[in-house]
Formats: sequence, C-alpha cells, structure tokens
Amino acid sequence: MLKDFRPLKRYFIENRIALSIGLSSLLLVDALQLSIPRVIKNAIDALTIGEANPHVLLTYALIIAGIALAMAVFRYIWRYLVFGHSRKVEEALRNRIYQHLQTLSLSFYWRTSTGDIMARAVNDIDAVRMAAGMGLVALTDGIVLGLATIGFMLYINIPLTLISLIPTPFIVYFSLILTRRLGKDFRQAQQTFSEVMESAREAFAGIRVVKAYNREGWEYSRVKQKGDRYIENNLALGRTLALFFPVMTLFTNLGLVAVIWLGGRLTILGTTTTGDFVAFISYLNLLTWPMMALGWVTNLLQRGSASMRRINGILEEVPEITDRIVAPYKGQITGQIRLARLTFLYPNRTKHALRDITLTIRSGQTVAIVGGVGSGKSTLLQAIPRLIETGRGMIMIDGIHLHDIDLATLRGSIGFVTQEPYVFSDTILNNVTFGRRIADQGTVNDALRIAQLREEVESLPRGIQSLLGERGVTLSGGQRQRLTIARAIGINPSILILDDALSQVDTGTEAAILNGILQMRRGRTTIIVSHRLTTIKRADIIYVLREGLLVESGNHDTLLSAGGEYARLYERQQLSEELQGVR
Amino acid sequence: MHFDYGYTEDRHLGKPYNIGLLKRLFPYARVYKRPICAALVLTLAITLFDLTVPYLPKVAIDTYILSFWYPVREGSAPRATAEEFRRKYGFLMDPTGISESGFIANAQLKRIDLGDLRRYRGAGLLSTERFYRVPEDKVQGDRAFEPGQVIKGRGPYWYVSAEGLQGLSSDQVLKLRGRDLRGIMSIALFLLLLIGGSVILNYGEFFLLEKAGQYIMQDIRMELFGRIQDQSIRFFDRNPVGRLVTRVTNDVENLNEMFKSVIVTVFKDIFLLAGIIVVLLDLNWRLALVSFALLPFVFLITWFFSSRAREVFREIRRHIAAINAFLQERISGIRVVQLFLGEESQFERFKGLNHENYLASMRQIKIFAVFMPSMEVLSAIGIGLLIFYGGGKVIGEQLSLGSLVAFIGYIQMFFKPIRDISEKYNTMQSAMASMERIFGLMDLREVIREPGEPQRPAKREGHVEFKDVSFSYEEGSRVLDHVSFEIRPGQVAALVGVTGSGKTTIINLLERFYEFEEGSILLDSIDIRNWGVHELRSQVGLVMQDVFIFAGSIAENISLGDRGVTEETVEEISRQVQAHRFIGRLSGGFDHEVKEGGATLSAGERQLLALGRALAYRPTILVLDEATSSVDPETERLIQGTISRLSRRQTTLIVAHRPSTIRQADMILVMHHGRIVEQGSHEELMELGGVYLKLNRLQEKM
Repeated sequence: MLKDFRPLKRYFIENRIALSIGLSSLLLVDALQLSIPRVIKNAIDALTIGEANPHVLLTYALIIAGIALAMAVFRYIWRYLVFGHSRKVEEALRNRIYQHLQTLSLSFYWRTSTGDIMARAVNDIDAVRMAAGMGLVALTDGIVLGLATIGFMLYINIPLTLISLIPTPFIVYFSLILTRRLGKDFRQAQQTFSEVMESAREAFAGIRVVKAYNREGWEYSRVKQKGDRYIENNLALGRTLALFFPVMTLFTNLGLVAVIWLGGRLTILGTTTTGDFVAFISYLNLLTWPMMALGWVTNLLQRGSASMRRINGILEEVPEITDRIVAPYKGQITGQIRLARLTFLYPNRTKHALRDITLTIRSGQTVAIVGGVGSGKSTLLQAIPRLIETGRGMIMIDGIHLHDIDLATLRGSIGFVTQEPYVFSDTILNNVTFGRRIADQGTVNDALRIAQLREEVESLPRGIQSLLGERGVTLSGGQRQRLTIARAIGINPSILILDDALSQVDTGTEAAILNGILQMRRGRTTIIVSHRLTTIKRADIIYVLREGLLVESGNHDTLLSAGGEYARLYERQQLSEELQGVR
Repeated sequence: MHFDYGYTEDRHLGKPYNIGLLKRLFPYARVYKRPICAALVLTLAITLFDLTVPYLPKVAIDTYILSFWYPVREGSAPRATAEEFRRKYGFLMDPTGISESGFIANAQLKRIDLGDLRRYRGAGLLSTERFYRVPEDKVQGDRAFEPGQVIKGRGPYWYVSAEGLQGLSSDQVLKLRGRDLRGIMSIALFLLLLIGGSVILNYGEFFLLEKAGQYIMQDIRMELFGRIQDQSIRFFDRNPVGRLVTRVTNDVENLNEMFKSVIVTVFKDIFLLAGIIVVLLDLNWRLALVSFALLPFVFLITWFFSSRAREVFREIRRHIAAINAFLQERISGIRVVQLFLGEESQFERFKGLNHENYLASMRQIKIFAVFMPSMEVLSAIGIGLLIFYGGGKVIGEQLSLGSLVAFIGYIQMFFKPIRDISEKYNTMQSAMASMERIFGLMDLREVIREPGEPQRPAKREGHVEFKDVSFSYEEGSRVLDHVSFEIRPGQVAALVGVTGSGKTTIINLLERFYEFEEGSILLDSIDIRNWGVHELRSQVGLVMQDVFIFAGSIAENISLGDRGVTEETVEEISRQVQAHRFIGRLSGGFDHEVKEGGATLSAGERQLLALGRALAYRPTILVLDEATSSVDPETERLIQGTISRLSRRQTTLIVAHRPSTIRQADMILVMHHGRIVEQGSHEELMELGGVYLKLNRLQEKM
C-alpha cells in the first residue's frame, strides 16, 4: 500500500522541516492536552483535602488557561504546517499530472475519456490530499496520544488502567472491521450511484425515442428501480454507519463503568484520591479519539492509496512521441516534405488508414489533398507534425528524418488548422497568440485580417480582449474556423496545413481568406485539404487519396482529363455545389 | 464535442441558510413524518442519556465517595449562635444528644448560607472533622475504636471518624462503608444499562433518519426526473445531458447530506445545548451564569469565523472550478496545445491557477487554524473559571465537589455542538446551491401544450397534411418555409434533399417535438395540436437516423418495456425485419444483454432493432429517417420487401439517400432550402430535370 505513495516521497522530503516542526507541535499539543486532566486532578485533590484556597485555585485556573493558550499556539502551528504540507502536495501533484498529460500522445487520448482523466485529476487528488494531511495527523495523533494517555493512566493506578483498557482492543478491532465494511458498502453504493447516473443519462440522451414511443413511464420506472437499489445500498451502508459511533461510545463507556465501579471502590478505600478518580474519567474520554483515529486512518490511507494507484496510472504512462536522438536537428526548416511508403493503422482496427503513401512536396509548393470521407487525409496531415507515430515508412523534412528533428522545432515550423476548430475560453488575443511570444500587435491584427475576422473583432466592445466561451462571446462555427486560421498563420510558419479548415465559412469569405493566405505564403509550403473546387483548383499539385491509398496526383487539368477518381470527385462536388446554388 | 461534467458550474453559490428554499423541502419531509418524528423522539431520549452520563460521577463522588458528615457542637459555641443555628438549620441536622449535638451531611452543607457557614465554622459550632455514618450492627463486635472516633447516633447508626477508618483493613472499611460501595456499584450498573439502551437508541435514530433521508431524496429525484422528462425537446437542445444528470444525481445527493445535517444540527445539537444549560442552571445557577459569560465570545468568534470561512470557501470553489474548466479544455484541445507548442505557456497558466487555489486554501487553513484552537482556548478558560470560581464555592461549601466535576464535564460537552454547527457550514452552503438549482429546474415548465379537450378522429388511417408550415429553431433562420404537402392513407412517400434541407424537421414537427407557429399540420383531418400528445405520438412509429439502444435485453429494446408487446410479437416482428438471424447468433438470443449505447452491435444491427421497435408499436404512420443506411444491400432488399408488404397497413414516410429505396415510393417530395421544390414519382421527377435529377446523379457518384 505504501509503495503506491512513492511519487509523493519527494514532497515529503522537500517539506521535511515544516513537517517535522508541524508534527512536533502536534506532539506538544498532545502532551499539553494530557496535562490538563493532571491539573484538574490536583485542584480536585486540594479541594477534597480542604487545602485549597482562592489563591491556589487561581493558580490552577491560570495554569489551565496558560496551557490552553500554549496549545492554541501549537495547534495553529501544526494545522498550518501539516495541512499546508498536504495542500502543497496537492498543488505539486496536480501540476505534475497536468504537465505529464501535456506530453502524452494522441494515442493515449484515444483510449482514455476526458471524464476519466478529470475524475483522477479532481476526485482522486482530494483523496490523496486527505491521506497526506488528515491521515498523517490521525496516525501520529492516534499512536502518540493513545500511548501517552495510557501512560498517564498507568501512572495513576496500574490495575485500574488495565481493567479500564479491557475494551480498547475491541475498539480498535471493531473500528478496523467497521471501517473496512464501510469501505466495501461505500464502494457498493458508489457503484449503484453511477448506475443511477447512467440510467438518467440514458433517459435524457434517448429522450427523442422515449417521447416518440411514449415510454416516459418505462424510463421512469427504470431510473426508479436503480434509485431503489441505491437506497438499499445506502441503507446497508447506513446500518454499518449507525453501528459505528454507538459501538465506539459503548466501548468507552464500558471503560467508564469499570472506572466508576472499581475506581470508586478504591477511592472509598482511600487507595486512590478523588482527584485521581476524576482525572481517570477525563483520560478515558481522551482515549476515545485515538482509538477511533487508528481505525479511521487505515481507511483514509486505503482510500488514498487506491486513488494514488489511479493517478500513478497516468503518471506512469510513457509519452509515445518524444525526441529520439541526443542531438536532434534544431535549425531552419524550409518546408520540403517527402513521404516514403507511409503506413498507419489505428489501434483496434484491421483496415489501414494509410497504406504505402509515397509523395514529395517541394518547398514553396501549394498542395491540395482530396478524397472521400475516411480516405486518410487527416491521418496523413497529422503524421507530419508527429501528432501520431506512423508504423512502416517514413517522413523526411528538408531531407532529415522526422525522428531526427527536434520536436519543438518541427512543430514550431508548422501552422496546423485542425478540422474541428478548437477555441479556448480565453480572450481572442490569447487564442491567437496561444502563449507564443508574438511581439507586436500588428502581427496579430494581420493574422486576423487575413482570416477575415478583424472587422468582426473590432466591432466587439472589448475588441481583441473579448472573452470567448460560455462566459463571454459565443462564436459561430465559421468564426471559430477563422480564429483558428489566424492562430496558425500568426507565426508565419514554414509549413501551413489547413485540414478542411474552411468548411463552415461561406464561399465568398473563403475565397477572400484563400487569396490572403496564398499571397502571404508565396514561396512557402502550404497543404490544403478541401472539398471546394475553387480552392483545390488553385493548388500547384493535387494528391488524390482513396481508402488510404494514393491513387492519383497532378494538377487540376491533367487529373480532370485523366477521368479517374479526381474527375469523379470533381463532378460530384460540382453537382452538389450546383445544388446548393439552386434557389 | 464538449461535455459538461458539471465542473464549471460551481461559480454560483447560495446563501447558507435560505428559509424560502428550506420551506420547499418541507412537503417532501412531511410524507415521512412518522419515522422523522420517531427519530426526533429518540434524539430527545439520547440527549437525556448524554446529559446523564457526566452526572453519574457527580452522584458517585458526592453521595457515595465523599459521604461524610460534619459534627455540630452546640456546646462549643456562644449560646446565641447555637440558638440561631437550631432555628435556621436545625432540620438539616441528625441529632445525637451526647457531647455532639448532631451531624450534618456534607451534601447538605450547600443549603447553609455562606455567611452563616463561616460564622459557625469560626465559632466552633460546626467542626471540620469528618465522620462516616455506619449502621449499628456493622460496628458492634469489631475492634474497639479510640475515644472520640465513634459516636452513637440517635437512630440505629454510629458515626465513625475518618481517622478511625484509616487504621482498618480494607475488608473492614468495605464492611463499614457497605452502603457507599453498593451505591457505587448500582451507579456502575445503571450506567451499564444506560449505555446499552443508548446504543440501541442511537442506532435506531441514525437508521430512521437515514431511511427517511434516502426516501425523501428518491422522491425528489424521481419528481425532478419526471419533470425533466416532460420538458420539450427544445429544452434538451439547450441543456447538455451531463448537466441534467448532475441535477438528478449529485445535486440531489447534496440535498440528502443537508437533510441529515439540518436534522442533526438543528435538533440534536440544540437539544443538547438546551439540556446542558438546564442541567447547569439546576446544579448551581450562579456558577452556571458565570460559565455562560463565555457564550457571547463563543458566538462572536463563530460569527466572525463563519463569515470569513464563507468567503474563502467560495473563493476555493471558484478556483477549483477554474482549474477544472482549464484542465478539461486543455485535455479536449490537447492537439492544439501540442501543435502550437503551448505546453510551456499553458503549464505556466495552469501553475498560476493552481497556485492561486493553493493560496486560498492556505487562507482557509489559517482561518480554521485560528478558529478551532480558539474554541479550545475558550473551553479551557471555561474550565479554569470553573476551577477558580467553582472551586471557591467548593471551599465555601456552597457547591459539592461532585457538582464541580459534573460542571467541568458539561462545559467540555458544551463546545462540541457549537463546533459541529460551524463544521456543517460548508455542507449547508453547497446543499443550498444544489437546492436552488434543483428547484429552479423544477419550476421550469417548457412542455408541449396539451389541448384542453383532445379530439379523436372518426377513423385512424394515417392521413397526413402539411398546410403552409413555416418553422425556425432559432429566430431569423427559417428551416421550413411554407411547406405544404399531403400523404394519403397507405401511401409510401419519400422525402429527399441534401443535408440541412429540412427533412428531419418535418418529422420533428409531425411528432410534436417542437411547437410551430405558422401553418397547420393535420393528421386524419384533425390539427395535431388538438390531438392528445401521447395519443398523437402513438400513431407515429419513428426510426431515427442514429439509433438509440438502451442498456437491457434485445427483447426489451424492441418492446421498450411495453407489456402489450408479448414475447411472440417480438419474435414475429424480428423475423419480419430480418433481425432474427443476428439475434439468433447472440448468446442468450432475445435475452442477450446489450451494453450501454449498444456498442457491441453493428450499426446495421441497431437499425434493424429500431425498425422492429417501430413495427411492434403498430403505428398508423411509419417514419423512417435514413433508417436503412447502414444495413447491407441484401438485408435492405429484405426489409424493403417487408415494408412494402406492411405499407398496405399504414402510411409510410421515408427519408433516404439510396435511389433503390426512394424509387419504390408512391410519391417523392424533394426538399431544398426548407421548401418543397419538386413533387411526383421517380420517373416524373427525372424527366423534370431539376433538383431531383441532380440529387440522383450525385448519389450515383458515391
């Protein structure tokens, strides 16, 4: 179990001074707390014998107040340091998870859902923090306070202590058993809870079917059924929980029974003083918490380690795509691209997305890639900035194997506009620059101008500083595409890749954007995937893909006269564009 | 696609105690008034138990351990004092008649006025020597005491001095103080009984509350679920499924937490506080008032703390929401982060957000680190006060030692509920926010209007008429533009057109998924707005573009839990739609359990199931929205046969791309930009050479 916490070791070492001061303060508080019943005992004894006078009493009262103040100070210190440590662990761990997530390749994201990652980065971190903070406190406190209390009790009266401690092993044992059972019941309840969630999700996601077939009652009863099971599980959990505290107090109170019975007898006999008798009762009360803490802490650590295992699942994930050699190429990239027998197979698929693609793009060329849905266009484009790692075959840029180019240099030389425009809930400016040091506002404005977005942005009250997303301006699909284009051309990259990036932009605007881009990119490599003929026609060379194979290449006229796949696609596109034009 | 996991909506927080909202919770609780009242009665009983426990050591000490008597020597004091004593306090005294006039029990001393007591002690009237009262028969036959160590009482008692007892063996002491010993034992036994009872009561109380809470939660959940389900499709277009699921699950769960917390804090803790106050006042009202002097400080600190805690709590929630939203966006947009080398800059920003959260949580730690110990300090000051002031009273013999011990015990108990209340604060706050969201949703009624008096057609034959219907999902962009057409009973009509031309909208309106304002749609000569909504929908068998498969058995996915659809019907229908072959290959056949979303079935198989679902329904209009696009041509041919066989039974409306499917229709409606632009048979339309011809040629190129 402890081995799961190994990634946290370094934080414990880093915080060792704060931690040791914190834990020492905790121990001091324990010691002080234990001394209070002693003072009470002395006061009571003084009162019993009749030696007490106001002056003595005041002294005792002041001692108690003084101890309390000192306790408060040390409590503050340990709470601040130990809980602060757990927050530091939380922060560091969250940073580490995030940083690691950024290095992981797309293949990881194909097999892991966002919901799952979020659950680990949110809920599991909480459980780990609890283990690192409260767990540590409960562990130290439980052991030290428990032992010290017993020590004090032994000091007062050995047989009485032993008798009153008879129930303690049962307390520890029961608390262990019950917390374990609680853990099990809890997991069971969580399980049914997610079933309730799933059935509700299904009912809402399938609402059209439900409504179309008047099956509201059926779905209602399905959700209710899950809800009833959830109640059952919760009640099972409740039965254990309901047992927990009463049984714990039962055992402490059994100790009290023993103390009153036997301690009372000893006091009557005069073997024990009344003050001892009272102090004993106080100590017994103090003992309840450490006993329960021991049971609780095992539970806390168990939960924490389960969460830590899930977090380790992310941290141990090895990034698939990294720099392969010691001194990768970091120089200029001019933009000549060669693919040689490039092949790619998505995991859990049998049909290749790309098969033996060989082609050369000369530096400065404008290239169009066309093909039907699922022909492999996007896959091919994603292989160039190494978003995916291809199997057989290779890619060379400027004659250098892709693996020998520094990943940052490679990606920094490519402006990529993805098929689905991704916009962050941030300002327009930040969405365009995206953290890169684009020095002057002019570049950003130019990029926005070329993307035909400048006027729209300027019409917003806060202009380029306008916030996007749920809490800000909502952009239309076309506007989002144009924004991502501005993001890509903002760095004036050696290679610009537009993956069907203008599909939601109207034809007129598209032409304007394209004119701007082609003018700006004269002499630089530009790769465009598009369905629109006007766009494709302007390419120097067109590559036609079909089911992962490169079937044709050439310029528009030669391909059209060849009457092959391109001609077919062209005709189809022409028809559909014609259709769109019909009013 | 962005999916809302409910992480981003934490920015809104309710007031911690909103009476208006709590009132709305009341009707749900009223249903379970019996278990709740029973639990409250138990709570009351438990409070009594809890209050009794610190009292027992007091009784043990005062009545049995320190059960000594002080001798009264009237002869040693001035006559006037002695007479005054007799007049005022004579009734307290157990008279003897020898040298000592009598004895006064230690426990009775507090009934003598403090000033008088001092004077009597000073005058030697009231000695400070201690004697224990012992039954006569226990003393006789034992060792002879020294003179002055035993005094005969008037009743069958002897008074034995404390010194006299000291020289005795344990056995003898135990014999002499048998009454005290038995008293201690009976207290111990009583405590044993008490704690046994307390376990049962505690268990009962917790369980009753848990049960009531769970049922209330389920009632609220189901009511909320029902309300959401009844909302129109437009509502679902606007609210992401994830958010709605959060409402019926997590938010309701929060409510349950609060229900328990409220009952526990409001009742248990308040009972306990009130009980402690009463007991303390009864024990010694002066001392009680002294210890209550701390209360204003307690409330002041709690008030100050809770306002600070609330602020920082909100702040943390805000930070966490920001972190989660950021994280979720970066995970979904990981490609952009990596492509644009955003790793470093985004990590810096994440670090910033994370650190702000850290700082806020450190502030929270500080606030709690001040609050919790300061409560402890107050509690310790309370004990100090008790020892000083109460101890003084013990010296002054106005308060028994046992009472002082009990006081200390109660004061320690006193601070726990107060601490509890402030710890429940966070729970309360998030529960209130959840409650606001739940009731907000419940108050939202966006349902399709049911007619006041639903009309029924004379004959149900599936006669559909669209008359000049216009519709837009969002203002300003018309999806249907003056659409008119008629499908006669038994006809097979096909709707064709490019994506976005408005085909699916026609179906949405026919099903009354959306309300439309312009034009009218008639089914069997009655405006569909005058049909009962359920009645109308049961006329239409709809098979949608993307088939929704429910987690459950294959048979269930066809019958959709309708009892009217028997096993035989399900089997019969699956043969008709050619689904029986693949079902036969599944383990368990019709009982085969399909996983969430039907992931184990192919798209074609899912379409066959959906088709079966529609036919099992015996609709008067069968609507197929691209329903056979994913089945292989061979299966499609078979289904086609079924449909054309069945089409005599009902009207059929098909949205399809495959020319083979369209060609079979009696009538083809060509939609373009929200209008019906052409209408007729395949041959007629091909001859026309318009949109249909182009669509057909386009299809051929696929």
